Amino acid sequence: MFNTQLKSEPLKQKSISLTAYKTLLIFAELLKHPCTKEELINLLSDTIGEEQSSKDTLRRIINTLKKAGCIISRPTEKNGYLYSLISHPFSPEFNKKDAEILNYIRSNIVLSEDYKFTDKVNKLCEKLISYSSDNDFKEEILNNNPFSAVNPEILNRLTSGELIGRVVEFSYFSANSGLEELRFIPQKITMKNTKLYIWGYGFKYSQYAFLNVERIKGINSVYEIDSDFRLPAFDVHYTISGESAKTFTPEGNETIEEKEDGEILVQHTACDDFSLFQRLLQFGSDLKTLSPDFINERFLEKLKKIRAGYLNNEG
Amino acid sequence: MKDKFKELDTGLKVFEILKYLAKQDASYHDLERILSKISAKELSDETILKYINTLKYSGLNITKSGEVFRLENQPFMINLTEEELETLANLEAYSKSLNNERVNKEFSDFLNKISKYLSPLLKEKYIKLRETSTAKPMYDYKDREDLIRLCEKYLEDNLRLEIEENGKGKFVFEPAEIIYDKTSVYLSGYLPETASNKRINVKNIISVKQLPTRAAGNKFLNTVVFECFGRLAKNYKLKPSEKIINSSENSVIISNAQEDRDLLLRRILKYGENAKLLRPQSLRDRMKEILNEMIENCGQEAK
Repeated sequence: MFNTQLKSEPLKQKSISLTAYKTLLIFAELLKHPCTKEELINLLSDTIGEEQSSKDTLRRIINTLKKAGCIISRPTEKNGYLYSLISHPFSPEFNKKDAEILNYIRSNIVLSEDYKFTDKVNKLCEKLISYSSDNDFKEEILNNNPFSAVNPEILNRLTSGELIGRVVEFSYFSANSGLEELRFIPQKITMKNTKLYIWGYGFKYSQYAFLNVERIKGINSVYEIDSDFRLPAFDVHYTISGESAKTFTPEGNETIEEKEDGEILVQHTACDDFSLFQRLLQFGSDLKTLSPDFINERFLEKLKKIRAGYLNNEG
Repeated sequence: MKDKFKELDTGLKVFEILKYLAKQDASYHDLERILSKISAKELSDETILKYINTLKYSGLNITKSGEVFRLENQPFMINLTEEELETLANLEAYSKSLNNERVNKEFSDFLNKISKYLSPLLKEKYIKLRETSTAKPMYDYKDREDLIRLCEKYLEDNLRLEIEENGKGKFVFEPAEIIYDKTSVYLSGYLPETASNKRINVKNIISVKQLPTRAAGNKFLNTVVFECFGRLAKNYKLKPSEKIINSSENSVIISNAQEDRDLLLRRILKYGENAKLLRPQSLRDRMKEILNEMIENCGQEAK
């Protein structure tokens, strides 16, 4: 790292190249931030004590830096008359192979459905991109960002936890109704098949529901829930066996109550049939028992409806 | 005019030395060779030393061991926040927890690149973060380390395998990739018998025999076709290998060539009555079987 500060010793007495020092001085300053011509000339004057022909000196230095491989934008009215270092030969030499290994690890984190870790990795990737001048590296990372369709501001507010348990008015692009305003109480965020969802209570249908985060276009207002409001919830027990039991990971509203002979008894706090049945269906015939009876009956009805689609001869 | 050229030339020469040292150590001879490309004049060791001193005076730490110069700190640094450093440490721990030699090596090379651009203070912080509990592997596949190494070898050898899987019997398999999720490690690949992709939980592998046949490069894949209805049809996001083959106002017909059959079947089942498997017939029959078993498990005899 450069340390081109004002030196107390007279420069000319040292066995250094003054011209080269000036070049390095300007480069180091442009690395820190964009500068106006006057700022750079003042820097030369203050450091070297050179007052005459400074404009020419600066022009020659800028040309040397360009010749050495730096890309420096010209000062114009549009950029506030700033010299700005666009790229330089000392950027980290990240390449496509680096992006591929990062993506491989990120894709496995996505499979583990850990959205917080995925979000942090995405942010780190963005930071590394900002330091690289390799387009293949940038493209490979950006094209594989699992949250590319999510508004980053909304994602930040969701992952910070500030919206959980509060009433939020979202602008939401619904497939059926187009853009609409939805009042919702977020309870948790989940990630499934690379997509982010928020689960909670939706006032529109007065039931537990989920929203696809990609479809949230804005957060209009946030306020506290009435103190007497209670979310609808009921407890369900189910057992699973086989491969589903081996690879089982409880969700936020589940606890494993017993584990014996390759069978698992799970307690699940449900708020609606839809998300409960989606969860249960994914276990297929590994789902062995389900209680209470009224849920078992409703689930049975659901299964019969699905099977009806396979009993006729239609393709 | 002549002096101006000289001035420009000197700045460029010092910059070229810096560019070279940023990549590798260099002797006087190396630097003379580099500079000879931009300067016709022969340069003495004293001149080169003067240029090195200029770089040192600018704050760059250049050490000399024998006749070799080394740049100890890069002219340009990556400035990571504490949170970003922690994420990097967690990524390293995560990559190690995959127990995959190739991944470990490639990620370690990448980390070394980043490390070159971290200040000594950030490097020290990073080392500390690696030792803290937050940087420990979140998912531990250590109990499957040997199986993963074996799978890596199968991938490298690129031969067909005869695998015996718990509960599924023996089949011929062409391994393609190792996949990790929250709880399991899978060997994914191609099943020539059904021309479909499959992933096998490595823990369910009973035996593996390498066959003397190379795994084919281009594979023909049989597609699975299913139909989505209503809201699902409107909201459905195609997976990488999927194509829409027909669509109407209330339904969309999708073909899927690459997903593991068992996983796809479960996924379609999860969509409930909003999706129906259309082809192949063998998979439709399997779906019916599963639904009958589920109905029986709910305490009612399947009709």
